[in-house]
Amino acid sequence: MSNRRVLDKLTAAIRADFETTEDFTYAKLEQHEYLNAVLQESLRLYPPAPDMLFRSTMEDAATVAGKIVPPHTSVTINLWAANRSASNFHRPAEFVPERWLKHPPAEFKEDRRSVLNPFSIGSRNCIGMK
Amino acid sequence: MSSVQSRIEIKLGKANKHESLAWIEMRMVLASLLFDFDLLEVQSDSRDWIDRQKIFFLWEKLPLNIRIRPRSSA
Repeated sequence: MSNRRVLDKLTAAIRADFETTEDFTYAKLEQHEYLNAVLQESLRLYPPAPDMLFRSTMEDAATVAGKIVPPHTSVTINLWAANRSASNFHRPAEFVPERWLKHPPAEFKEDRRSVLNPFSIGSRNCIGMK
Repeated sequence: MSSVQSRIEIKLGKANKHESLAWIEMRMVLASLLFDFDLLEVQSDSRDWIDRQKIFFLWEKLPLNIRIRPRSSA
C-alpha cells in the first residue's frame, strides 16, 4: 500500500495476464515473473522469521565466512541485517521488486540474491517450503 | 468468484512433492487479492503499522503437573 507504483504495476499485470481466476494454475503463477519478484522483495524486507535460525557445527571445527568455529558451536545469521545490508543489496531499504527479475536493471546487477533464504536452508529448513 | 481457500486446495491436489506449500499459498493469495479487488488506502488505524511490530522467539513450556487442594479454612 505504501508503494503505489508496485501495487499498480502488479495489479495491472495480473489482470492482463489472467482472464479469470480459473487461470490461476500452479504453473502459471510460478512462472509469473513480477508476482514472484514482489513476493521475493517482500520476504527480503519483511522476513517472517528474521533471526534465531540456528545451526550447529559438527564434531569437527568448521570454517564460517573465513573464520574457524569450534566444534558443537551454535551459529546464526540475522536475516534482517543480511537482507538490509548495503553490502548485499543496492538501495537496500527500498522496495524494488525489479531487482529479482531475470534481467534486472543494471544498478541491481551486483545484488547478492543468494543471501535471501527466508525459509532457512538445509534439511531443517521450513517445512512449509516443502 | 471461487474462494482463495478453494483455489489453494485445488492446487494442492495437483501439487507434487517438490512444490512449495508456502509459495503456492503466497502466489495464490496475492494474485487473487489483486485480481478481485482494487486496493484503495490504508485505514487510519493502520497508518503506523510497521512501527508497531514486535518479534518474539518462543520457548514452548511443557505441562508441569502439580497436585493441589483447596486451602484449609483457618
